[in-house]
Amino acid sequence: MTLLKVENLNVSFKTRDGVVEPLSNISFEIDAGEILGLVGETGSGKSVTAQAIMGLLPFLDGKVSAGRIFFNDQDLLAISEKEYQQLRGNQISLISQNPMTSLDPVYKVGDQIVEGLKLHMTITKADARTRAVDVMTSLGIPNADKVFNQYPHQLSGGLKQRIVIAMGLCADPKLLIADEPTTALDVTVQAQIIELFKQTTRERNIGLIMITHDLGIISHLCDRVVVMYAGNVVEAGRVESIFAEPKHPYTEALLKCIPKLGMADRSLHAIPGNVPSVRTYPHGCRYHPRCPKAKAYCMENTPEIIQVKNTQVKCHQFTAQWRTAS
Amino acid sequence: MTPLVEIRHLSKFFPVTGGLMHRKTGEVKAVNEVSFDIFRGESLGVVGESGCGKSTLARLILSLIPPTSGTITFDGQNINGIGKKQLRLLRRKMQMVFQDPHSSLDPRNSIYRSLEEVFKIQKVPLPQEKINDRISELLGMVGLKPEHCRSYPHQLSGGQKQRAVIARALALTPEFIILDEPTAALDVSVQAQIVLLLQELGDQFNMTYLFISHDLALVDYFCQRIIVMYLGKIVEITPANLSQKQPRHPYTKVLMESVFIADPLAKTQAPQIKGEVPSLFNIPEGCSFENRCVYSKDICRKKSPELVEAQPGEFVACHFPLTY
Repeated sequence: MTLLKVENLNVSFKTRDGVVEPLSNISFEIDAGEILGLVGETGSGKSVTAQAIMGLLPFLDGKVSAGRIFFNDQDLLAISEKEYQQLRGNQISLISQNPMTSLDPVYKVGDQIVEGLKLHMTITKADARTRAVDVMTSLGIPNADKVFNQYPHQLSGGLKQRIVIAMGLCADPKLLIADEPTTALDVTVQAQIIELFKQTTRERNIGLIMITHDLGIISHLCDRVVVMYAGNVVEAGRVESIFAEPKHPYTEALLKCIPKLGMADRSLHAIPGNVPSVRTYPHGCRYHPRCPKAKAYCMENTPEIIQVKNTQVKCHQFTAQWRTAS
Repeated sequence: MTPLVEIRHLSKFFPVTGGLMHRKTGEVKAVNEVSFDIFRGESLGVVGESGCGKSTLARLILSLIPPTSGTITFDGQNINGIGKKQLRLLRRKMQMVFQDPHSSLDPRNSIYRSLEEVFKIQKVPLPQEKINDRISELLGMVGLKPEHCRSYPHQLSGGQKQRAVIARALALTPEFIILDEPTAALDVSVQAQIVLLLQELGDQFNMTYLFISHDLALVDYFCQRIIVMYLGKIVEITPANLSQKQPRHPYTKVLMESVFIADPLAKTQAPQIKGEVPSLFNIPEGCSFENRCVYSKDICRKKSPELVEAQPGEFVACHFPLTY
């Protein structure tokens, strides 16, 4: 069953200098038990996508200007903020990038997990504490009882992030969105946390949207990938096919510009130019200024989104080839 | 071949004070008895996680902070405690590129001014037009356009700022550049541009680089040799191309296994490591990696292993180095 379905999502924000549209026509879905990667660089719109799904846009002077979001067939754009509060934490949970900023420094970490539990469900303090300790233990936190009573500054980055994950999971959500959950962590700690995400998602049969710029994490953890660039989905598909046969020039270029252990000497290829800012998105295909395959019509026209089975591609060249082939 | 830089028994201990009287209650051994050479023209990498001491090491070599003990020799000259004028002249030969381009450039200076400042500080006796020419040349070298001269940092992208920082480092044709996480703050597509630029400049000027990063794949790609640090000590010095080599130190092995390769078909092995990094305030006796090492034995708890040359140019500090 489809857990989450995002259909032709457009998001706009009101800013001092006018309205900006950081997301255009985003579509993807995720099933229970599946891990979907959302990969892209700065300004690709991946965090805004998470904010849209969580119903946080109104608090950021933003809104969904077009499109739909369905969670378990429920239209999220038709519910009230009060109804959204029932969903957050309980059904859909967001884990953010900096564990340091998610945790209140003046409260014990255990109490912060309990606070979340009491907000999202009817539960006694004692039961909430037991549940919190259980979730912490299941996430590999040693001496969870003791850690419960500690303050964030007493914990390492890895432990703090496990606490934040515990906060996200303790009310048993069906869908977890993790926004760059390991960028601030050491690589050995990152490896452990990613394994933890994998294990937890499978054990609880929940859906996980992993937002990251790290293709290594994507290839290790995810079943399917959505590649974003400048507010668009440029390619989406199963992780094996994206890496083996990238169909969008950006995906292809991205794979070639990341250093990999074992790659040949001097085989790194840079992508010329810069990621465009939301105020200066190029006309036509937003990738065209950096694309080696760009033609005249790429500069004028927005590419169509071609959906073929499990794959989605937004590229004029691909569309032309696909049309000829079919 | 005489090394360009020789580091011998370099240590930096930061005192920790406590209590009302601010008495010294302990110390953080940020860099602990570190010895190695840097050869002319090579790119030497330093990898390690938080608290390993790599950034402190960079600052020690640049004489930004004084060592607690040990020596640093640059081009045959001992640079410990040298006078201000000598230090200024040294800085013509030895430069640094820091991680954050946003804080490396004075936001109130145009790029032109930031570059010109180098010549002023170094009291270079060149007429203004020659300085202007040199600045244009530098901008061209790093892939910036002449008009970027007039730009202010906030008008440039992260990648452009970092190029400006590199241009500034190159201004007086240094022999040696230390790069501390030079691309960590940049998008991956821009990171590749900077890496390629650094390689090109390295080729052109036979530049010697000390490349510090937490990104093992990046260091392996860019460098010919790699130093692995853990809690202030060197645990291994190895040639790069790690996938072809077998690591000798268990920690190097863990680092390699922790890196996720961007290939879903790559065979992965769960890194064999346990426990948490000990606090820098409380580095254990014996081998500092002991509590996390799956191969540790009694002696590891009691005695700290020396860095020994396992093979010419390859060093490891371990009582039971891995063999294959």
